[in-house]
Amino acid sequence: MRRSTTVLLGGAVAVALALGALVGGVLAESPSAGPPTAAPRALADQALAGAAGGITSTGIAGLEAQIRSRPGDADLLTQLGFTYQLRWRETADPSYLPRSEAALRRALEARPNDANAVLGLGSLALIRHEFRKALAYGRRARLLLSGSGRPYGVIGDALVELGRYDAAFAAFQRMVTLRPGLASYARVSYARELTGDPVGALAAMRLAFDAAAGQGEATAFTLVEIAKLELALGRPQAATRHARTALRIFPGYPAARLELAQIEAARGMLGRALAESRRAVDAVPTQQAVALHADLLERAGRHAEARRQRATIAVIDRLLQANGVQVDLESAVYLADQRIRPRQTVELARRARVARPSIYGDDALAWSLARAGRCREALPLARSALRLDTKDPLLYFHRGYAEGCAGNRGALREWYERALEINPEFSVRWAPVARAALR
Amino acid sequence: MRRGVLLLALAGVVVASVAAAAFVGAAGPSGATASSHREAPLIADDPAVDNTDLYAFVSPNKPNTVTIIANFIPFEDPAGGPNYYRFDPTARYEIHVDNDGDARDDITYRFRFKTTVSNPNTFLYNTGPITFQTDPDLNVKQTYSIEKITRIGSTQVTPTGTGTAGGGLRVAPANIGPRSNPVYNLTKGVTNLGGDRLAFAGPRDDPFFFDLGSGFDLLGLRPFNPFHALKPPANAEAGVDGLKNYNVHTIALQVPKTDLVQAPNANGTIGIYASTSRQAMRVLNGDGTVSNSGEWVQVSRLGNPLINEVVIPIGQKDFWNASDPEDDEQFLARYRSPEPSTLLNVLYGPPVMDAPTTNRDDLVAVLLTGVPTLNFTGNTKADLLRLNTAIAPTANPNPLGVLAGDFQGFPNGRRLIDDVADIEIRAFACGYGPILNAALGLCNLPPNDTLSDGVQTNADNAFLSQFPYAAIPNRGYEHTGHK
Repeated sequence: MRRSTTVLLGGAVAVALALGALVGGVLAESPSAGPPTAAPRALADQALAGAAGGITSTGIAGLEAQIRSRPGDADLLTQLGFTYQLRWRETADPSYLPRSEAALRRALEARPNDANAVLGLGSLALIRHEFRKALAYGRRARLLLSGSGRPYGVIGDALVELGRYDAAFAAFQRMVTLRPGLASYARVSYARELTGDPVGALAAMRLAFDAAAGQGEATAFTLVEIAKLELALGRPQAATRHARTALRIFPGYPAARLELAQIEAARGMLGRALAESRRAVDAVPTQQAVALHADLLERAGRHAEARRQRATIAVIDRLLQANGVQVDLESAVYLADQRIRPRQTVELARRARVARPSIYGDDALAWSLARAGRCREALPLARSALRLDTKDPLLYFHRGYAEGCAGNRGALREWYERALEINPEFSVRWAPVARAALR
Repeated sequence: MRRGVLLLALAGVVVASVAAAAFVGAAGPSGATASSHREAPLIADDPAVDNTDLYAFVSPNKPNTVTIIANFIPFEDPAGGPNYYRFDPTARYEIHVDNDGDARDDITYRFRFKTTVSNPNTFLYNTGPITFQTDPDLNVKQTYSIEKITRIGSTQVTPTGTGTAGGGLRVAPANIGPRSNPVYNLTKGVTNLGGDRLAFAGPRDDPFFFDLGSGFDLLGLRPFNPFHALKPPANAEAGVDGLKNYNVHTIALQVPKTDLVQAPNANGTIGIYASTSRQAMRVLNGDGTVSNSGEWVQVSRLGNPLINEVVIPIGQKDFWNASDPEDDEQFLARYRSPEPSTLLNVLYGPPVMDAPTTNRDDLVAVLLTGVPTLNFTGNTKADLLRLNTAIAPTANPNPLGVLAGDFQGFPNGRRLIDDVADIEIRAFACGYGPILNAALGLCNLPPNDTLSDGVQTNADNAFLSQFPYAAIPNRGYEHTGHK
């Protein structure tokens, strides 16, 4: 009891401090964000020094110092803009995002149409889930970088989230044809995963891992993705090994911590999952980590603690929004899970789907409609969410729920069975519901 | 590619390399947000296949042979966990040789690698002292094969190989510290292929030397601080080697000259470049199946030093890396009107002289066709390192190479000791010096023939007098970090 209260407090404090850092100022104050996130940042610096060497080993502080003496240097500013984004990947601290934007905009002022700065703004728009904006930046970068594969990464990622899958996969094809490597292999892997081919996705992600040699965060990223795919293919031990290796390569990597917790949960080892999710929340209180931890606490019957954890999610969301990250879709799914204010949740999901008309946009709206009891409206959207044949048990579960809600008892059973077949513990919260419904 | 910093300094265009476009992360560690939004990295920097430098010279201790050294993976931190740095087993590493002046490959040596992890449950690179290369304590091992491809076909030159790509030859291990490597033999990892042919692959000290720190700062040449347009610093200072203490991954070959030059000659001028390729693939097949086989795509290339950094503009770097040297005519304008010359003129005042910024056919000769009477290979313009094998090695090589009248050095091939940064800076500034001015009519505007970054030697471990010549890797144990 006491321990997890401390954890919760630790998380809340970290969030609050990060908020403070955000308010504290953007680009101008360089090493300012100091104390609050010093620990993960120091870790990241350490890992980077070993992994990437070169410029990154001089770190953000070094770049900022150089920029103070040469404030109009577009190259340094672009570099700094990208380095902030890398730090966001490494630490999940969204206060890096406005700094990245400020640096990239200053770079573009110093040198209009700088291809890398444009690409950087495209990448930033993706991080913030502003996919139409990202698409525009990607296309602008394509004009400036003929023969380069990089703009197609931004373009393809944006098109995926805009639900334009044929065009997205064509962009990824162009990218991997122009420039095979980590970035394009990882995108091929995702395209295959989306289209229901985890085996092909794993093959591509293994190539991405080999191509990532020498880059700490990227190596850790590919290992976490391999872990997810191994888990989806029913090989939890291999999944655990890869996630642990990711943590060795990049100590404190938030995505790896979260994945370890998810793997334990998927194996039905709830005690170990709870321990891992607590460590994840303790390290970096991300929305996903807190939500998983809360679900696990709930499952363990520790309702009051779960409630306190959930209270921080709204804070995290506000922090993300304050840094320009659109979280409507994620919030809608979460609120529908909790069945908090169903009518408003449907409206939120509807807005989210306009911004992201992807299979996950369809799913979010279908799920919130079904949870609000609007079953006939939900069903066609739940079907549409599966139009790529994605083997995602949560999509299956939502489909089954919508079917059941619309009175199709047989279809409910069928989809619940398929979800449990992929993974009997596909969700801490919903797998037991599916099992109970089938009894 | 690795020296994007230089590019910044010299050409004033962005560095696609080291970090700038390096991590175009599509989005965050997700942690924060969408499980539904995949956040794959979008990386331009690709160290595992990044060519850093190419060297080619007539072997000083075996003058009937030529040694070719190609380096990859920039800025390896010796203490950064040796398991981070390895050749990419899915990539092809190649050395290409043109021996008839058409800039097309007559001979290609293709290196392919394989990684073996003895015990996947430990992530230690080694589990005890590494005393020899087949030591079971070496947990992460790489092996390689070399395939020689000629116009009339391809032959496997791996004597002990199984015929499969990556098999047979052993990659030298990392140099970790006194416990892991009680002894690190100078020639550890050298394989004798028979018939005066030697091969090497593994980590080495980066032989390149240049004042990255000052060069990065608006083409600062510390000895020439007093003449730079921007001050401070106003006083001349000694240069600082920005590559000190860093390692690279090296592939090296020593073969008889007659393996390379056009038969039946004993000597000739050959053009060389190194490249790396990766395989494209189908994202999705029409029938819903997937396949991993696709075209091999060149992702990095290197002939003469610093071309990608200072000659090719930012928007064309990826395109340049993917293109063939035989098509380099398309970049001709970048050589004839070089941006570094313009920048030098802007940034340095008297007594440094303004260099011509157009019609620089001298640079076309030095970098794209070879210099007549020295290493000219014909009118086909291609960024190749050109080596006239008939020029015998000297006992007293001069780091300024041809500029100092030492015709065995850069730009006639390139030796490890050659100060290519100074040579190229002087070339861009029209400071070829009195010897070349008299002998070949190349432009010389004193005192531009004394321009220098102030770093004249590689200050790390000593070069060897025998193959692979490159110094053993810096050891992690002594490594104290970089500024």
